Amino acid sequence: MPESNEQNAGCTCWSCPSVEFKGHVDFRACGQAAFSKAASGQLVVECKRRPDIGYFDPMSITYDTCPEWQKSQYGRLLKGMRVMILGMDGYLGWPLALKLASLGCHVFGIDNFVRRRLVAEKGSQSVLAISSMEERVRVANERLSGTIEFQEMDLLDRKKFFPYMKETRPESIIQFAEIPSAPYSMADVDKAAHTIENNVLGTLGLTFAMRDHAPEASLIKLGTMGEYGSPLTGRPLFEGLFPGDATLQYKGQEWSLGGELTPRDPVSFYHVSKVQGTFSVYEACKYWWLRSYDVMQGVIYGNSTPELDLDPALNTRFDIDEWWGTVINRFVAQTAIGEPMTIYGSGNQLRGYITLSDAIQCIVRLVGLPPEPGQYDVVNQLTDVFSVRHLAETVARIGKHEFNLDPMIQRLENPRVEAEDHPYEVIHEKLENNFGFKSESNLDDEIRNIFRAILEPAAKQRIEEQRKLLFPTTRWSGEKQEMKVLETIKPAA
Amino acid sequence: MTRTFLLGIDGLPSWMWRKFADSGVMPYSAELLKTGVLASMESALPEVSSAAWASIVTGQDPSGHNVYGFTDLIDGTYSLGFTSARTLKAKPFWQEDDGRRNLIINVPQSYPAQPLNGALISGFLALDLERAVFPPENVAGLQEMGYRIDADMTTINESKDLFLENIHQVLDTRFEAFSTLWDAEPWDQIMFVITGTDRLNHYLWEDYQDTSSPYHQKFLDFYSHVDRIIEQIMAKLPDETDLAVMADHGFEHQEMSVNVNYLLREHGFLSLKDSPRPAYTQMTPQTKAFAMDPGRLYLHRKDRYPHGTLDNDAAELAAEELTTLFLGLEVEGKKLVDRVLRGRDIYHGPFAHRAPDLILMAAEGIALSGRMNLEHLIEPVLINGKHTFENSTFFARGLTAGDLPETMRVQDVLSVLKMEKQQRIAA
Repeated sequence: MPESNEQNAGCTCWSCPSVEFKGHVDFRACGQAAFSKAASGQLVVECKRRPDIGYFDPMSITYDTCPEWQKSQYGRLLKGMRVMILGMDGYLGWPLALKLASLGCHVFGIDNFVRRRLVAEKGSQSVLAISSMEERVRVANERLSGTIEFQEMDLLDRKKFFPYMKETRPESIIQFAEIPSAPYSMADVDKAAHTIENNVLGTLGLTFAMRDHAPEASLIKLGTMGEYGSPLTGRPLFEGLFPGDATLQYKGQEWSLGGELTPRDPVSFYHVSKVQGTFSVYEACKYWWLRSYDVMQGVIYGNSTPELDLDPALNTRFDIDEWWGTVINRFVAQTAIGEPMTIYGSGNQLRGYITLSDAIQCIVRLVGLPPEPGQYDVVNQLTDVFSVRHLAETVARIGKHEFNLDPMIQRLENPRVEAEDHPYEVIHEKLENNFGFKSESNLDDEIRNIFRAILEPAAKQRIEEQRKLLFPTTRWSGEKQEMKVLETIKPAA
Repeated sequence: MTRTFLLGIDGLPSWMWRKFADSGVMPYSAELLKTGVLASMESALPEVSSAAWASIVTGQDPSGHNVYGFTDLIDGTYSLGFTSARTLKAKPFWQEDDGRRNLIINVPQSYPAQPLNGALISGFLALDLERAVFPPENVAGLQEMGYRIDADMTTINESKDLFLENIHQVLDTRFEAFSTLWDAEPWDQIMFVITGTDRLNHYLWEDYQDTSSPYHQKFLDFYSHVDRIIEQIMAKLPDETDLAVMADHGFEHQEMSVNVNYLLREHGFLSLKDSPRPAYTQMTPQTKAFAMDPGRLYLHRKDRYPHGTLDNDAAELAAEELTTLFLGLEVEGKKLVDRVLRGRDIYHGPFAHRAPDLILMAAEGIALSGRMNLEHLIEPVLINGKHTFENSTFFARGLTAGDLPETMRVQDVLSVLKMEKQQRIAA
């Protein structure tokens, strides 16, 4: 059995992105070659990193016997692995770049800074001050063993992006370059169209760029648990594809559903864009033998990773307003300045959650264990399921007892169209079982980390400056009237 | 300076060429054969195309050029590697620094294309056209004309007609590409190889033998097509050019393909871990011997393999046991092996240390497979023709039998044609 951080030790060159498929060969009749990956015969590949070993059977070399796959904190990674992060300036993109660089990777990042622009247009700002990308990269390259390179570029600018893909020859590609806000996508038609255009066309173009210039790279595409919705039947939320023993019964007949995509039931136009991305990637894997993990990520929270904590110049952004903040981050910020935590409707909505640092670990593990050519797979990336009310109560408990604050909770009219009381059974086994993921953080500790960071005077001041923007105004219905307060609760001691 | 044209016809037995020439299937060959000597040639050991063509173009046996088959284990590992121009450790004649300009078309084992004085299009096993061509500027033109390195062998699974159509088409396109280069480029040495004959012999040998088969005439028709290519070459080739025609091995009917690794496991020489995908990497230290195509046996020596356990004495004992075993084995009442050769007796070149320990010389009609998929002792295959060590073809215009060694072998071709480096310098 491999060590717990050696889940990929037994993987073979067939899944290695450094290996180029050359053909199938039938040696029984003088080495006749066929070039389709679907053909039969002996697989033949060439290693771009080790051309000296010639052409070989990819199944006959494993990562633990290849000098290019070296041990790291989270399983084996290719030496100086070339990883492209699309959307590297984002909340998740930047700490991932730091983590990969700390593990010796060569990171190529692009971003069009749309997030910085949209946050500014909203009138809000990152609670933790963030440096310019130039400064971030400079400090990171001084402090970490790997290398980070950055280019300002829009993924939709295909005339620039395709040559960049060709030039950088990534072995893994992380698609984070998407507008990540459900309420922004519901605010008006322009914002909905902006979200759809950026996310859908960006991912679509990416698949073509990979087909043409990096067909062996593995694509890690960020989806969201919100793609599934929350079925009222209580059907478990499988990891993207039905398990092998799933069946459908109808009019006395039974069909297998094993391996088929599970239903998607998006809950905003942002989530619609993510579902469209799922289908684009799924199809590209089928048509062109690309390979991808679609990551259905729970709601992310936190501000801390070992690399972010090295230097304030390396801060990742931390947004809290109604459009760009996530729920736990916003609750802590509201409590920090004496505002009530705003929960929508009953507050019984159940969702999956994961800390920033655990999410980064998951992505690194996915980078290290690429899918096989043509393989599309899905992981549900979360560690816990909480109700919104439970989150508010947890923030209240820690804020009150450990930071001497006076937390309040306000129930508001729900601006969204969603079930407030519903079953929610999420299957999330693959990351732990197949990729060796082990959570290294938890809700309470992460809330403490956030409190410590944002109670610093400068951060607190930046929350104060956007106090009014913490209250929701965007209704899914399009109506403009202010959200009514249903109840104000003082949490129990 | 004499110019030289080498025409390769993969898998053409000498007796068959003579027969087709005499019977009118290949009338232009009949004319050509009047102008020189036709001999029966021995193939390489083992009689596999990659090794044999490498011998023809380097003048070395496998221990001199390092190609023993299409597959080999990567040194010091159990990883299965595939031989290529990078494996070839002896210089092919077109790589000699002698100022001669070469046109080299479809010679096996020349992929990926290496720079040379002239132009080259690799033959099988070339894995993409882009890296099979030198100079690279020629790639676009070849793509445009639909050049294929090899026929689409998946067609044989659908129908013999599609397969035949495909090998005719590939031959036409190949000759068109060659003719274009021939017209455009200065040259001193040309080597042009036809491979459709080998593919045809593998899959339609039963139709050749069965004169009542609807595909019998179609089998002959392909050879007539080859003959028309010979006609066109003859018409264009200056008389004073040295001309030779050769094949890499002979051919005969294939009765069955027997999996040697299956037998080795059955007789306790090969031990594999349980695995859904049996492979050399799954061999346990208990393994004493394993096989690779075609009929190559390797002893699991401790000084050669990571988990090998046999010292010299144990290896000697295992070699004797295997020799006795295979000489006595029968499958379905049919003898498998005529002779068992010892690697140390036949290989003496600089790469002899990489040679198989034993070569099983298959009996008539028997193909010896080294596959590691051990599901079947007798493998289910569509192939019904197989290579032979004997009866390959060598023809040289203007030479007589007296100009050839008593036993003509593939590694003698260059010396007979005075193309070996030393001889050229002397000349």
